[in-house]
Amino acid sequence: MTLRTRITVTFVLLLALALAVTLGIVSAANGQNAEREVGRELDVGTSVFGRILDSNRRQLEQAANVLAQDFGFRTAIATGDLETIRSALENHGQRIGAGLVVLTDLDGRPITEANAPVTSSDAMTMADAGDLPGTGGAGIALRNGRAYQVVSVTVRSPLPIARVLMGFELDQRVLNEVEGILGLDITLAVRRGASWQALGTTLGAAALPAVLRALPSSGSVGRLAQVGDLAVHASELAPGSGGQVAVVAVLSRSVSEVRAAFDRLTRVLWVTAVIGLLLTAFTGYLLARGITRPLSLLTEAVDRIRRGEHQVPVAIERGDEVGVLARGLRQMREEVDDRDAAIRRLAFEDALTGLRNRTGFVAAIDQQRARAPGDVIHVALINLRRFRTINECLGFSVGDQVLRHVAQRLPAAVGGSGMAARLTADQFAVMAGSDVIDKEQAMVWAQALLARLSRAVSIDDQRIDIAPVIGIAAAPDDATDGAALLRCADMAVDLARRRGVGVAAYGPDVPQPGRDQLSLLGELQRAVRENELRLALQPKLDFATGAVAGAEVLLRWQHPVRGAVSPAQFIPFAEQTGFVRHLTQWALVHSTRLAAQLWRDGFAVPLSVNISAADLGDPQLDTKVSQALKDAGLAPEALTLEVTESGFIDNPREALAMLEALRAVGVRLSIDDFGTGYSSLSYLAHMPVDELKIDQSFVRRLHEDPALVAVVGSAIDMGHRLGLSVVAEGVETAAHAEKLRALGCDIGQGYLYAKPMPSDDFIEWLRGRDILRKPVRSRSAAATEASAEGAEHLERHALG
Amino acid sequence: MRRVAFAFTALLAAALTAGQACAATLNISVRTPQGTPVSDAVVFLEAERGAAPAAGARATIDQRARQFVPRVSVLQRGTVVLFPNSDNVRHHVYSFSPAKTFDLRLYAGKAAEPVTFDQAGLVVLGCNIHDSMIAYVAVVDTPYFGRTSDNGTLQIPLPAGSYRLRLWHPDLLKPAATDAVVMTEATRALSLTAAISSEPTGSAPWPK
Repeated sequence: MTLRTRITVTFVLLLALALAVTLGIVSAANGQNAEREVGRELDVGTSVFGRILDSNRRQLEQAANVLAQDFGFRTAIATGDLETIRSALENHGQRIGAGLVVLTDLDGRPITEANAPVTSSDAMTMADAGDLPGTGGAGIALRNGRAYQVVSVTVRSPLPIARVLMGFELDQRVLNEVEGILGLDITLAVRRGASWQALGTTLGAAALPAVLRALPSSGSVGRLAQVGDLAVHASELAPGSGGQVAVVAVLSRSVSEVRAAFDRLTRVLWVTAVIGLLLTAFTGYLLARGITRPLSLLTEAVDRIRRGEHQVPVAIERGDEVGVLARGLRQMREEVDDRDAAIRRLAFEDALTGLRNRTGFVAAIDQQRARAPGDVIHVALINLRRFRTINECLGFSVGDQVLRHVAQRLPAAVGGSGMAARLTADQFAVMAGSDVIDKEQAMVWAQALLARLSRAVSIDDQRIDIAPVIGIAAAPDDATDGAALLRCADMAVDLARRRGVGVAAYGPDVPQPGRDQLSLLGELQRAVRENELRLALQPKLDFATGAVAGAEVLLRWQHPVRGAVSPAQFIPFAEQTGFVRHLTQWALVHSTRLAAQLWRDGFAVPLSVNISAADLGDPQLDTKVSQALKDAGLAPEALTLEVTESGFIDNPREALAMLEALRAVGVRLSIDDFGTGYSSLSYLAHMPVDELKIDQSFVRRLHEDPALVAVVGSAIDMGHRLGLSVVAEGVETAAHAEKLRALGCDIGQGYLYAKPMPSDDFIEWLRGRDILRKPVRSRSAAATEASAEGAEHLERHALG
Repeated sequence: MRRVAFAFTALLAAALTAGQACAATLNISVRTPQGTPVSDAVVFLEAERGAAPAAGARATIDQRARQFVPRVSVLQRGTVVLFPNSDNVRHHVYSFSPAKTFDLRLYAGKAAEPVTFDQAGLVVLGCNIHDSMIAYVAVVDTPYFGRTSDNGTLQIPLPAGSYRLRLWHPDLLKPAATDAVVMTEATRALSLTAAISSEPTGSAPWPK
C-alpha cells in the first residue's frame, strides 16, 4: 500500500469511525427523543388543555356571578317574571358567547333558558357532570348529544333561590381551536355503559374507533398504551357515578410524525457525513499527494544518483521537511561527488610522486586504444637498478626522495602528448608522444630518456647514482591493451638486464615465460589437485665406493594436453607466485611415502627434496615436514631438504630460524646450488646444515678453467672443514668424476650415473646395486638408532 | 344528604287554675336535643280568638359592621321598623319575601323612611351590596312573642287562656309542630327542644 493510499485511507477511516459513533448515538438518541418528545407533548398538551378549561371556567363563573348578583335579575326571579329572566339570561349569555344559559331551581330543574323556552323534552344530563353544588360548581353538561363546559352559580335573594347554569359548547370549532393551540388531536368521549362514544374529535375517522376502544371501561385514565401510531393521553373532565369516568378528553399524537422530524435530522446528518467523508477523502488525497509527490521525485533523484547521473539536479524547493530532505540529498550527492573524485584520484594517482599509478596508466592507454585503435603507442618501462640498496643503506626517506626526483624528470622527458606513471616501488612507465611512430624512433626516444634519467641526484649533499633500465614495447604490434603492453615492456626490461644494456625493445625474440602465467597458475592448482605431478629421482653415488648414497627428488608435470612439462617452465613461476609451497607440500608428502616404501623394500636410500625460499618463509614448514614424516612412518634422517642460497637473501634471520627448527625435527639439510648466490660465508659457518651441493655450473666447466678447480677444491675443503658432506651436481663425464674424486668430493650426481627417472624405474635401477650403508629400518622401528647411524655417516665423510 | 332527623317535643307541665284573669309569665327554655341552649329562636303564642295589629309599635334594625342588628327580629303585624345605618358605607336593604317586599337604599348618616310590616310571615332581609348581610324578621299576628337570649331562655308575660305555641329558628331542620298551651295565672316554665342544623342554613321555612 502506498503512503498516499495509507494516509488517505487512515483519514477516511478515522472520520468514518467518528461519524459512525456520532450517527449511532444520534440515531439512538433520536429514537428515544421521539418517544420522550411525544410524552412531553402530551403532558404539555394535557396541562395546556386544563388551563384552557380553567380559563373558560373562570370566564363562565364571572359572567354567571355578574348575572346572579344583578338586582333586577333577582327581582325578576323573586317576582317570577320569566320573560325578564330569559332576556337577562340571553343578554349575559351573549356577552361571553355562552352556548348554554339556564336558570334552574335549587334542585337543578330548569326553570327557563336563554333563546328557547324550557320544555320537558329537553333532556339535560348534568348530574353526570357532577353535583354542581352551590356557587362555583363546574363541570361538563351533556344535552342532546352535545357537550358543554358549564358552571353553576347560585342566585340569592338573599337566601339561595335558584341557580344560573352557564356553559360553552365544546363543539368542533372549539376542538379545532384546541388542536391548533396544542398541535395534538383531541377527542371528547362519553361513557355509554361499558363503551365510549365520541362527542367530537379532530382525529380522522380511521383512527377514532381504535382510540375509543383503547379507553379503559373502568378505572382511572391517564397516559394510555400506544394505539397504532398514536400516543394517547386521556384526561377526566367529569366524574361519573361509582368512581367511573363519565367524560374524557383524549389527546393524541402521531408518533411517526414526531419521529419523522428526528428522522429528517438524522437524514441531514447522514448527508453531511457523506459529504464530509468525500471532502476528507479528497483533501486527504491532496495532502498525501503533497507529501508523496515530492517523495517520488526524491526517489527518482536517488535512483538517478545511484545510476551515476550525478549532474541531475534535485529540483525540489520547499520549506517543509521534504525540502530539508531534498537539500540533504543534494548535499549528500555533492559530497559523494567530491569523495568520488578523491577516490578516483587515489585510484589513479600515485601518492608519492603525483604521477599516475599503474591503474591510471593502464586505463589511459586503454582509453587511447579505444579512441584510436590504429594509432601506434610506445611505452617505456623504467626500472632503477640497485634501488633496494638505496633503500636499505640510506633509508626509505632517501629512497622516496630519489623516486620523487626521478618522477620530476619524467614529464619533461615524455613530451607534450605523452604521459608518465609510477607503477611499483622503483618502476616507472612513460608513454611516448604521438611523434614517436616506429621502433627506431622509439629506441632513440628511449635512449634520450635513459640519458636524462641517468644523471645522479643529490640529496642532503649526497650524490646518488641513478641507473635506469628501460624496456620498450609498442601497441598494437606487441600487445593490444595496456596491461599486456606493460608486461611486454617488463619482459623487455628483463631482456635489457640480462644483456646488461640500458634499453631493450620487446620483440619476437624476447622469451615469453609468462605468456599465459595466469592460466598456468590455475593449471598448477589443478595439477596438484588431480595428481598430475610425478616424482622423478636422480641417484647420488658415493665417489669412493660407487654405492648409491641417496637420490634427489625432482618434480615432473604430466600435463594432460601438453604432455610432460619441464620444471624450468613452472618451478620459477611457482616460486614467484608463492604457489611453490603447495608443490613443496605435495613433494614432501609423496617423497616421504616413497622413501618409506623404499626402506620397507630394503632400499635404505635417503631422498632429498628441494625447498624454495618461499617455503622457508612459511612458519609452518617444520610442522608440515614433521607431519609428513609421521604420516609416512619415515625416520627424519632418511629425508634431506635442499635449500638454495637465494633462500637466505630476503630474510636471513627467519630462514636461519626455520633451518634450526627443521634440524630439530631431525631431517638432514643441504645447501643447494652452492656458489651461485651471494651467500655470506659467515652465515654459512653457522648454518645448521649437513651437506653442501656444488652447483653444476662449476662442475661442467671444471676441466676448462683451472681457476675453477681451485675454487671447487677450496669449497670441498671448506665443506669438509665445516663437517659437511660435499655433493657435486652435473657430473656428466668420467673426467668430471675423476677430477672431483681427486678434489675429495664425497658424492656425485649427474647424467654420468643416471638421469632423473620415474620412481618405478628408480626402484628397478636400484636393484642389484650397492647402497651406501646397510639399509636402515623405518623410523617406527628404530628412530634413535637411525639418527645415531646418520651422525656416524656424516662423521665419516667429514673425516674422509 | 345533610338532612338530619328532627324531633320537636313540647313538654307541657300544667299546674293551672282555670278562670284566673291576672297575668302570669311563661318562662321558656329552648335547647337542642343535645342540650345546647338555642339562641335567636322565635317563640310566639297565638290566642285562639286572634289579635288586632299593633298600633304605634316601633322597632329598629340597625346596620352595624356590615351586619343586620339584630339578626333575628320578632314583630307584631303593623309594627313600623326603622333602618338606621351605623356604618359609614352604603347599604341597600331589600326583601323579596311575600310578607313584605321592599328595598331601601341606606346612606351613611342619613335616615331612611321607616318600613311598616303589615303582614304576618317571615321576611328575609338582604343587602344588595353585601351578600353576607342577612336578617330575619318574623312578623306575627299576636302580641305574645319573644326571642331566646344567648342562654336560650325567654320570658313572655301572658294572660291566662289557651294559646297555640309556635317556634321558629333560621336553622331549624324541620318546621316545628304547633302546640296548644293553656295558661293559668301561675307562672309557668316551658322547656322546648329544637333540632337545628349544625351548619347554619338560614333557610328554615316559616311555619303555616
